Amino acid sequence: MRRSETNLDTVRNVPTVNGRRSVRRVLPLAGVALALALAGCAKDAPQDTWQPAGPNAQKIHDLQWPVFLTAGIVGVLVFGFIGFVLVKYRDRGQPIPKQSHGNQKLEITLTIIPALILVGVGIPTVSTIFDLAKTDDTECIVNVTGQQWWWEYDYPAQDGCGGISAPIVTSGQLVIPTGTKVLVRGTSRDVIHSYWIPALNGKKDMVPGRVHTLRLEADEPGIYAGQCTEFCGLSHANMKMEAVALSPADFETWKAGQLAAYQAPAAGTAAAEGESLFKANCAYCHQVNGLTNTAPDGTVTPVLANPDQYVVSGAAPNLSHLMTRNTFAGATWDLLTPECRDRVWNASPEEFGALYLQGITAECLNEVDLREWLRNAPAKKPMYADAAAKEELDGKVRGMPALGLNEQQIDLIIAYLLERK
Amino acid sequence: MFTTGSKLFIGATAVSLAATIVVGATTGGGTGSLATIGLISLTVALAFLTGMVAFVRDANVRGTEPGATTSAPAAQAAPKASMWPLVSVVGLTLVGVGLITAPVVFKAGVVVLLAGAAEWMVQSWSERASASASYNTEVRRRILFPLEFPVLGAVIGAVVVYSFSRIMLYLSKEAGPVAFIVVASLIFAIGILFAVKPKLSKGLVAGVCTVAMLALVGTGAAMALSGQRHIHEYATVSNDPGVCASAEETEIDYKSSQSVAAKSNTTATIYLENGKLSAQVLGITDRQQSITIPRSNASHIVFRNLDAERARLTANLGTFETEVNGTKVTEKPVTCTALVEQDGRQFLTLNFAKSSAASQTPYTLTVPGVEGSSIEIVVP
Amino acid sequence: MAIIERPSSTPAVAGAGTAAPAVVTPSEAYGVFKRPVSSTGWRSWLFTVDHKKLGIMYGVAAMVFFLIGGLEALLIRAQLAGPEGTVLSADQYNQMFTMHATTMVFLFVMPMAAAFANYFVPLQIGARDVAFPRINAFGFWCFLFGGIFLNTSWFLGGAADGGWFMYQPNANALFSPSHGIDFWGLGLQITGIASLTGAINLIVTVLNMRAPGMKMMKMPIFTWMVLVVQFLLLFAIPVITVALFLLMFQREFGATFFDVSAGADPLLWQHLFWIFGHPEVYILVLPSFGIISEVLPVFSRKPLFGYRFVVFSGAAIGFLGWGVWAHHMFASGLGPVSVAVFSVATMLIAIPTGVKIFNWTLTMWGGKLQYTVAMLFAIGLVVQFTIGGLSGVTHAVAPSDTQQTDTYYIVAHFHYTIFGGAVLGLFAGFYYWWPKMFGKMLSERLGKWNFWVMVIGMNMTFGPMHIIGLQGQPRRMMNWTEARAGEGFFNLGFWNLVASIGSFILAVGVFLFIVNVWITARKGAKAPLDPWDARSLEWMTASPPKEHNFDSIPTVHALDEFFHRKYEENHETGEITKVASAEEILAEMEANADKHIHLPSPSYWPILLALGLPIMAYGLIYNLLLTVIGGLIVLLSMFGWSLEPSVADDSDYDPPADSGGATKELATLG
Repeated sequence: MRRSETNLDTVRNVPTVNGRRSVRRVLPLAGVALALALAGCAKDAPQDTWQPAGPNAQKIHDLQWPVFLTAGIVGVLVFGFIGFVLVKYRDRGQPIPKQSHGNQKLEITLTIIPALILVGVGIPTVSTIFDLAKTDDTECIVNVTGQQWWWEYDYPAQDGCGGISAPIVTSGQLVIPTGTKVLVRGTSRDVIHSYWIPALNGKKDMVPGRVHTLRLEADEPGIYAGQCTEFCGLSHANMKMEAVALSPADFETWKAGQLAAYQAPAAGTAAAEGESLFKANCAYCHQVNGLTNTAPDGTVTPVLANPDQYVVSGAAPNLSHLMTRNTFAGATWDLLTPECRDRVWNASPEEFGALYLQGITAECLNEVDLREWLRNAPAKKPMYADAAAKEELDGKVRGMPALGLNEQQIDLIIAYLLERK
Repeated sequence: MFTTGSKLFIGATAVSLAATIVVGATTGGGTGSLATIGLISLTVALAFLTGMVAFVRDANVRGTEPGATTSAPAAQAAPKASMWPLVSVVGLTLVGVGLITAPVVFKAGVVVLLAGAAEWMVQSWSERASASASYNTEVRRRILFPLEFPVLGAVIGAVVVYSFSRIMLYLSKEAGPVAFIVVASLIFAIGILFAVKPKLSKGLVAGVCTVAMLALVGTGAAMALSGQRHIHEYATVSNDPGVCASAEETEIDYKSSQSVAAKSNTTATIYLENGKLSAQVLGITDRQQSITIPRSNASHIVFRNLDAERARLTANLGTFETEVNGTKVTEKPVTCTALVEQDGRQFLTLNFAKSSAASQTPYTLTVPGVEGSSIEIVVP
Repeated sequence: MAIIERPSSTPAVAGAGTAAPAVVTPSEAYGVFKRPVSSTGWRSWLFTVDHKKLGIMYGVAAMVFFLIGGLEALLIRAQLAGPEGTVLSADQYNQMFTMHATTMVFLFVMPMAAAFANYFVPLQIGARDVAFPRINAFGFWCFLFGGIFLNTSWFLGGAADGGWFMYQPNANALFSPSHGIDFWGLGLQITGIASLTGAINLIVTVLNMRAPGMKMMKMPIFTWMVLVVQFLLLFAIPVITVALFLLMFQREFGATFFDVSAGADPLLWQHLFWIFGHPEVYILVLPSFGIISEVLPVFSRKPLFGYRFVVFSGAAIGFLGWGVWAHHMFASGLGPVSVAVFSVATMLIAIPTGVKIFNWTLTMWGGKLQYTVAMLFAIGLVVQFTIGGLSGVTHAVAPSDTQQTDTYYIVAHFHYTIFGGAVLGLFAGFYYWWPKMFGKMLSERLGKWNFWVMVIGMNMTFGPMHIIGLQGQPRRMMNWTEARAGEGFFNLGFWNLVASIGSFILAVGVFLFIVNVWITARKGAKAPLDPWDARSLEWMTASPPKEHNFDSIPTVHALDEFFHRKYEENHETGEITKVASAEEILAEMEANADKHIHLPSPSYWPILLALGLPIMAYGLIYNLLLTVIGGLIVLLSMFGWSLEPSVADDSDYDPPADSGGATKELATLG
């Protein structure tokens, strides 16, 4: 819901209030008296559908507030009229009224009035539908692929997004440059999912076999929360997402970081031990770009993940730069401790980029959830209604299996992962 | 306990059962033997009738009254005209003809014979069921209508559907809908006529229906004989490297790709124009030479041929080395569409399980015979 | 059951050759068992073909399912009352919301509307029964057995967990390996038979069995709305049947109708489901519109304002309802042209709906309003449905809908239309028609408590969902987190808690109704013949009505025939004077009672045939042998049914003899 003008300065993520928009802002504020009265102080939920933070969501908002307003007014009028009738014509011992069967003229009038209102609503609706379906003004393309229960993002090599030389694959957080028309091309690997970042645009289902597009554009740097909204099975509630908007300069830094070469851990460190544990336990499904095996004869071969052989959906998140993102396991849990998380989420648009690009430091790492996850993933995030039914999946697992790691091994793997920046 | 009628049927059942066993045993257990199957069917049918007759106790003529079958007025009533001897003879003739000519005629004959025999038996039995003719008719109807109606309904339905389908298959793709609309309108109009004039004579209504039925069956038979129109095969994807590398026309019918999904929201459209391949993807106005497809994902690609030459799109799905029984084998899987005429289009569903990095050669889309032009598929 | 009655004797008149046709009066039955005869006791219910008994059974069964569905709803709200709820596991939660919707839609609202339709349509049109009484019984048993079959899945490895919309491919065996969805698909097939046969039956009844003089435009409005709904069912049920068949083949036999790797499109399922699903919405709500269109005029002491407009807008809703299914799919990626077309079509449907709201309000305008409980529920419907209708308009705006769909906002919307619309209407029906059905008055005082607690409960439950939804909480999520709850007035935690408390208040409201029924059954006051001074034919007979409904079939001269028999209007002054009481009218009808009223006889076959279906369905899931057994039961019953005469002879109803002898209600030989 909309909050009152007076509080705008206390709030994060305030869209630029330019002249044109402020007029439109004042109108609903004046109009939706009820919402105004209710608009308290504090922050609304991060998935509030009435707080657009980009032009696409703004278009929807410009369309929906007058409709809500009209509906509200019509409602008040109808209820007022019904209330009036109920009081005025209550049984006070009056005689049985004349048995009138209706009034044709009145009825035709009462049919035409709503029809006219709906014509007024219909015309801008149709034009907005076509506006939001445009794909020919794209400035940056991201392929988004859903599967149970996380999203994969891949940035194809392109001239858009300020130029990307090699594909970037990530998951959990969609990173986009501000003020850029981003086109999401989405599909799914298993069931239907729905991509929804309320502050940036409405939702769009991602259907296997089809490629659907969704325009996204953020005005200001910041994190915008979202959630899979098409029921997609057991852990549907745990399929969250976040869109991170960075200024174009910060976005360049982020891209460079994602394309940076693999940094092997220094020999003898815990991380180096973690690397071999990772190869033995994780690299079957999780790709880490640049990770290699050295055979006894000295030949070096890249370690390639084959999730298609082990996982139902045929994919697992790429962990090359895990610690540059703030979440794991379908953006359900934070890699940041609650304090560090709040610091990033509440950062001002100016400070946000630098803070985000720091990634996860050892002090800020949320070890509690990450450890539980590595210990027994299905126990933390429901993946099987019936664990015994696993056999029916042709020997493949759904989501991450329990790996049977001991605490020491988990220490080492975390030490290795911490260096994946 | 047992009524006269049911005794007859029990006897008949027993005889046919014995015959079945004897024939079955002498022909070596013959599960495939036609005679055995026929006798088994006969036994089952007779057993069913036995059950029915025992169940209704000979339509209530008291089995305990010994004189009932002879002294009751029913015994004196003359039997009615019956078509079943004729039908049975037709069946018998068909059986004979079938033995000489085709098995299908023989089978039809058996069916007709069985139907005729069953009807004959029930009719003659029902005519002696009681003293009342109308009641006897009722008895016959109650026993046989539940069998006759569904069977006749199914047969008539099948004839109508078969005739109509032959007509639609004979007519060209353009004429088909027209014929459909005309016939449907005609039926609708006649239906309305019947509805608004409920007092039309029954004969007229029956006549119209008969004429329509005959016309349908006649046309259907005629068109079934003259064969169906040429139907273009859409299902045209091959995994045979030999086929995919050639520019020759080959009849391939491997997997349907004329699907609902492929018609909209495709991953990419590949154009062959002036001997050059280019790709159109969502969100980018310019044609591309490289497309990115997420791995492990069924992706639909459309191929459009704008050149005069017929062409097929071939997807080269990388090069992989696998070890089979200790020896290294190099695999180069391909898949391709059928040959596409000018301005035609074809669909290809691709699913890359491995990323591009796992393959020794890049994934590409090419057209055999068109050299120097290909589209690279990047699978991150 | 006598498959064939034998002639009692052989009175063939002597005179060989010229035997006159024998007079056959079969009177004695042979066979395995006799035709059921009891007009009392449990047998009279199991084997009945009487539309009134079936109507009551529909009502009772639907009420039981309502309580089950309500319990599921309470568990859902208990889970969501606080963050990270732990009342249910993810799997249980998914089953719970799937079955809550399925139960409420298919096993409560639809059959409850069928209960009223069954009971009152023949009474309202002055008929003695429906056109096909045995099919009517068959339909009821299909519904009951289908519903029970569906709910046995709870004890056989878990209920369906794909949501009531059962989107593909999530409903495939790979993603939902339990048998829940198999039970769901097969169970709905069976209840679908009930809807389809019921639809055909009621259409034929309404079109062919109206009392003399009752033109279509003189039909009571409830009958009209039921007729529209039956046509909707007639065309909608086949669509879902096809979809369920495809689903069944996909799950049981490995078909690939929605399999992407085989080149199919999962959106096909969505189209099939919603082409059924949208008309279904009107199937749910139109009967209730009909009920309150009866109730409002009675308690306003005025005819329905714009009867023709209400009829035609009902028909228009039924018709337009077919052209808007894709508005459930605005986020599915249909492309802008389809979205725009369906968006506009959806707005159109708001017009006839608005017309109805105006007509109801104008019916009360200038009336003499009596606030009985039935009237309160009817007014409650008008108000609550208007809220649902207005939030519906915001959904018709497709871009706005992409923000709201699959959030709690849409949950709020459809609960205002279905609970505020359909269910409140059904409760209006309970209070209005209870004296007619059972001859006893439901307590008005307790009823008012019932109404207010329910309405407060429903607004507390579903009102906050508007806020929760606009704050971005998606539906079908087994929990919500503090991290995304926000703060201040719109805090999700607070409103979720309010909604959960509201749901329990709502449950108390429903409980009060049960209490009211209980008390009424035990010591309720005997209802007067015409307690509401009503207007339509069903009140022109005894309460509860005799088995044959009317002693003599009335000839209809006007809409609101009963009212016009009781009152005369002075056309110059508009003054209304009472000319006859209900008792006098009834006495007159009794005096002119028809002779030899012909009524259908009870039968074993409908229940036996319906019983075979769930056995076949269990077999499809567990062992095909069971299917064969079920199939044999079905086959045998079909034969038995077709061999059985529809009417046992000698079952005519004869009026009391002049000497005042005992009434020979439904002679029961045969």
